[in-house]
Amino acid sequence: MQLKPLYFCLLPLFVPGAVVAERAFLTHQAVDSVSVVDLQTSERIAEIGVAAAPVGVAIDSAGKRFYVTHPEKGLISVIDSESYTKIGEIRTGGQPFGIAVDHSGKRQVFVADWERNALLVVNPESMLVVDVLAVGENPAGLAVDDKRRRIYIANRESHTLTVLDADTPDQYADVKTAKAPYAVTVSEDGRQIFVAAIEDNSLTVIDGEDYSVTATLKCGDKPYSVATTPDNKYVLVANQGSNDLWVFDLNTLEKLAEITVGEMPESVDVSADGRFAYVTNWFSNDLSVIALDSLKEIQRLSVAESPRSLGRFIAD
Amino acid sequence: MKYWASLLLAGQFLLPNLAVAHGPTPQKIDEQIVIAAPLDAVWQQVSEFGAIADWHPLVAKVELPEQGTRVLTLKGKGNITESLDDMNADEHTMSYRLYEEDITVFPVSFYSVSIELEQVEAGTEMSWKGRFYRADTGNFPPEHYSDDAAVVAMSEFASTGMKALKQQLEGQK
Repeated sequence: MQLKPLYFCLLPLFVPGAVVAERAFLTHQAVDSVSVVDLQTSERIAEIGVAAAPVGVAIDSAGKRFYVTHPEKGLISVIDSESYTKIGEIRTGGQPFGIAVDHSGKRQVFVADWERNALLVVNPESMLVVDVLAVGENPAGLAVDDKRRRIYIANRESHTLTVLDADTPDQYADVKTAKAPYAVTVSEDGRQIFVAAIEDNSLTVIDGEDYSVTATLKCGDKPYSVATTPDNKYVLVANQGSNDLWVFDLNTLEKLAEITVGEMPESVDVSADGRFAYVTNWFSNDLSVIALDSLKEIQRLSVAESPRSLGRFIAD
Repeated sequence: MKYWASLLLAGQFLLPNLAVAHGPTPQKIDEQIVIAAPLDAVWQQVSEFGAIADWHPLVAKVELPEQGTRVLTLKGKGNITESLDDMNADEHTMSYRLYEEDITVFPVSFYSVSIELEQVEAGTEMSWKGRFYRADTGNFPPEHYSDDAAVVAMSEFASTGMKALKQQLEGQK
């Protein structure tokens, strides 16, 4: 937990061959704002005041907008991702927490309602909740497999993963996970689902076809977030208690690296080309940049107070 | 049904109807103090998990029902239980969490704390860092179970403890 000297910050940012200027969309729950960082220039390009205590984020690149959940207020902010102005508000009631966009082209947004133990389906055009589906207790993170039409929801207090259909109200499974599942992701090929269990310090690995648990991987202390790379190569786990990012081989499930990041990391996401991972560090107010070719932290960018960004927070 | 039955038996139905302990909104404290004493002397005191009552004025007594678990009796209030997550003697860091809460004793539903020591010119810098949730994690908490009440309780507990430890260690010189 000792603060390491931040000599990374003194190096000029040089990202060879980066073509698409991706951005990080950060929720700052403690100061009621959202900030946007240009990942090519490392500049903060927007800071937007929003309703109280934003947590979850989801980006709809095609629709040029992003969504931010406000569990304390029972609402979701809809923000234009070009002009950074507010488009509208979705009133959900309850405590909207994790959020994900259906990227298939079908206009749907899925939201975990922490307090009411439900998955909310929102129509982003009308900005209305169009369906409320029962899930386990205190759903937190969720993942959508756009191609295979599945939604995976991690239920923190009932220690399960709910598997729902993305088009119909059907439920396929309610899988027992390790204790306190909080974040979930699905591999690009849809074949493996990874669930981070905060209180068991482990990752539950679930088969994407028959939903059986195929492995339990030991992680660092309090794994709060999990992401996979688009090339199906790595699984990344951010451990809030041990301030590090663990990297596993997605196919052999062997641990490859433990990379120290900032203090109390909260969320991890990966660039579209799979070359960089980004970690929001909630306590130390920075964003770790990890090069996935060398598996090293190459930069730590200062950001606004208490970045969380529950969900996929990197997009172009 | 057994769960509810045990709650009723314990008389806890008198408590307000709360959401689960871990709500969606964590708060933080980050308190520091410099103690004019060698790193090892400070570490010896704070790393003794069962001995916090020896230096923390708000703790009347401590019991260790099992290894890595301590029950704190807060002066004039009652009990809360903490469990140790990590103790690193090389880095001089330790972390623990609230294991059994009682919001009538301490208005926080869950916390994790890390204590870090670092050698500085004037002696030892001690950091007390906490991540925690208010007592009532629903959206309409009464004032005494609000985020503000939780922040006050956490920072008061940290700063009172660190000041007392400083006095004790600097007095010994």
